[in-house]
Amino acid sequence: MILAALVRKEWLEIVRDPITLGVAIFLPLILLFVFGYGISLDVEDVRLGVYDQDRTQASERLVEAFTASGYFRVTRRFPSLDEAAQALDRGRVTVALVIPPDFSRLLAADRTAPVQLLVDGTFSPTALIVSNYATAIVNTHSMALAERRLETLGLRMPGRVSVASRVWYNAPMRSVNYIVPGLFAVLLMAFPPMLTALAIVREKERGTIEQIYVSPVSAPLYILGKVLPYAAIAFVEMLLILTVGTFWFQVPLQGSLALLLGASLLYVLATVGIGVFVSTITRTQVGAVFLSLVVTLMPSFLFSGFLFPISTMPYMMQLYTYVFPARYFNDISRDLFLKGVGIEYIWWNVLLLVLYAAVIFIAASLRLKKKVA
Amino acid sequence: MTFPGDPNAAPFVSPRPQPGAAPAVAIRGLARSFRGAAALRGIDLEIRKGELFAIIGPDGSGKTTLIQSICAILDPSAGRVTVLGWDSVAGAARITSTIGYMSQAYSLYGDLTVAENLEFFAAVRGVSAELLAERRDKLLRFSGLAPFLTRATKALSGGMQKKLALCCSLVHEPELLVLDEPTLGVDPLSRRELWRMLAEHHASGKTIVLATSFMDEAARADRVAMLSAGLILACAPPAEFGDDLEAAFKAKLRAAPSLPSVALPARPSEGAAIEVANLVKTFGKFTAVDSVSFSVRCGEVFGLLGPNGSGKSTTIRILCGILPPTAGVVRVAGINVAVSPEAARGRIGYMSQKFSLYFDLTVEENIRFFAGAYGLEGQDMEERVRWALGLAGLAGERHALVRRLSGALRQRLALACAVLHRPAVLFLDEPTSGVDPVTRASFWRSIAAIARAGTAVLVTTHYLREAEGCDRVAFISRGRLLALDAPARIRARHGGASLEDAFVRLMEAAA
Repeated sequence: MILAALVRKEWLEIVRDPITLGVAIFLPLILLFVFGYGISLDVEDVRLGVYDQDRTQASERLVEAFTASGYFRVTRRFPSLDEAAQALDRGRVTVALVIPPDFSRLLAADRTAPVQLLVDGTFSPTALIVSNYATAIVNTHSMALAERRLETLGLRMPGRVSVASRVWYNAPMRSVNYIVPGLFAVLLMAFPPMLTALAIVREKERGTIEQIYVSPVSAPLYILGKVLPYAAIAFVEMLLILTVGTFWFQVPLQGSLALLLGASLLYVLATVGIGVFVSTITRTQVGAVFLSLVVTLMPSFLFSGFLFPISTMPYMMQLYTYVFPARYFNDISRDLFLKGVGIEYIWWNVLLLVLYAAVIFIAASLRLKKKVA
Repeated sequence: MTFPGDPNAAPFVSPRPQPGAAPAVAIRGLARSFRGAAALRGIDLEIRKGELFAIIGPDGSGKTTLIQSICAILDPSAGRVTVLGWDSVAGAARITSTIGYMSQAYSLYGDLTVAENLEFFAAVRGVSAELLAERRDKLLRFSGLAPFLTRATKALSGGMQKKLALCCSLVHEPELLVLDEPTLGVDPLSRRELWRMLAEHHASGKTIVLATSFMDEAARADRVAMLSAGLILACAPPAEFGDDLEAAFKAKLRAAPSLPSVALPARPSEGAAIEVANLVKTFGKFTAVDSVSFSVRCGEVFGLLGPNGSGKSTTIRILCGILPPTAGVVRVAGINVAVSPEAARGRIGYMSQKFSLYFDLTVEENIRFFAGAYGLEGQDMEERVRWALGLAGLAGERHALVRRLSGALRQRLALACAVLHRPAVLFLDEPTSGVDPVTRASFWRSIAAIARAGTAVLVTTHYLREAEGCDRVAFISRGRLLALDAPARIRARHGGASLEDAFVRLMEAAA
């Protein structure tokens, strides 16, 4: 009865403040588009600069091998090594290929012809991929040269090992397929807690909360009256970004939709709970916003495994990531979207979400004493 | 002193407490400090069931702390508070779910309508729908809020909001009702209606405890407790304080140090300081100011009086050049404000109840900031800073942070900052709202000193008693000028009644 009155009151306040509601619904959507298009770890169209000192057919074939792969595009030809270095310094090219003057002579003499690859390593994950691609291209080219040379001698290539690699779960290797499910974890942690925290701290600032203190409304009941409407909004947010992710970004959901929605519900209860907890330790709206940024927005990007794999973090930081529920839901969301596994594989993370929501709710209830000081 | 001239104000017959009946509130040795600063220093108090009990005291005397301790939303540092038989710490949940409370802060949900606020507080208090329907009619009739049921609460005037807040605290007909300055910032007419509602509730045998800075309200109580620096100076029925509670109050407290009169001569200004001719201001179809004319001489203290929403603030905003008039001519210090508001702004000073001081700066840093903002520098700046410190009586506390000052000292500092640039005209918008009588009296002496030096002072206030200190007053209601004269002449015209009675009569005649 009292709970119904609290929820109804909260709901009326929310719908009469269209700006807040608009921010709650549309800001995550905008960010979904920004990040969905903006974050891509796919390596394609890498800008390649060539310093060819040999200038022969042989060296030109090597360059063609690069462009034919589809990953590289020759954007520069350098007259000197200095120019190549400058182009890398200025970020004009990502890779510089240096072919020594005796390249074709050494090949013709059946000797090993070294070439040099200079890779811009300022962003190391991409640099590693680019370097591997380039090495693979050179190796394949080299192997083809060797095969042709043996043929002219009337010989065959000796036995070799060949790799048939298949990428599972994300066969086309589209980064949007794992960025978007990860974004669900990030966005639901970034906005709902802040809105919830503001809703309570606003009452502290205006003084209306004193009226609640002097009333039969208990702390857990008051908190529940805030959690339910804001969790409902967060869940609508989830439905919205899920729809856009599936239909606009074409990210296929391999697993069960019901399981995903159920886990999202638990997740938003946990994140909204964080918002409530933040509100119990801050007094002003400005304070609530700053604390929310530090304990929700920032960790949701850094410590959820969304962009930076948790397994490569130092051990202490790995433990720290358990403080934020984004990592549990990030795992759940990616497992369901990409692997399509069932509850038997993700029950541990689901259980952690349940515990998290329960603990944060109890902690907030204990913190919110019905006292003005 | 009785509540002035309310024909309905029959003296309260307080139900005799039955012998042996437990008191509504029993306080023993209550002390409370905030980070080492003592707000209450040993309070012993017993409030009987059915009593109307008033708490008065200067700013910072601990009124709100005492009120919050009674409401069980503040635990004592020492001592015990027992309310309706429950301990305020162990039985806090029982107390808070039983009593009614109206805090000084805004206690309503502004986005909700009048009806929705009532429904919310009724539901929270477990009042059934049938019971609410029955009580709602009565409450709405008393408060005059019936026509505004579907209006958003934030769109109501201050007086109506306070009435609604009281309705919300009365909806469960609490045995004990606790009110913290319930009539603060409310016009005299709304104040009477609030008191009629309180009287009705009290007449049904309920206990009411309230903190107030209006001595005429305290005079209506069965007993009054005078609080000063966290201690009760006196506690007795108002009659025992003599005829004039306000005078008794001032006498009890050490008189506030009177301010040195160091007002510098204002720059001479030709003719009338303020001239308003046929001023009209409309917002859409709503006419906020309806052809008002008056003029204020140099050195005159002019009171602009009227209920909440009567057009006072709109008039002051136009005079300050913040708001353009729809029609009419407004000259301040000889400058047409609508034509050259910037030029006029250099000649005026402004202070509102929300003193625009920087709390994290010291006294002197605040003065220097405002002096700098007015373009003072070098020798002029030093001279002005010394002068302002003298006017505020804060030379000894020049390095104190403003947040550490009492409300009264802050107010004096705000006033000094408002007249740093020797304005020809000084606007004071409810400068004494919520300030105790002693502080108010010393504040009015400062105003008089500033006026004597040639500055015209235009002041708005809800304390009609202090408006008697004005040379002339203007009553406005619904944007129209109802009366304009010296306070003594207005009183004479209404058969020697107080200014407050004259005000209410004019208001009722106009309605």
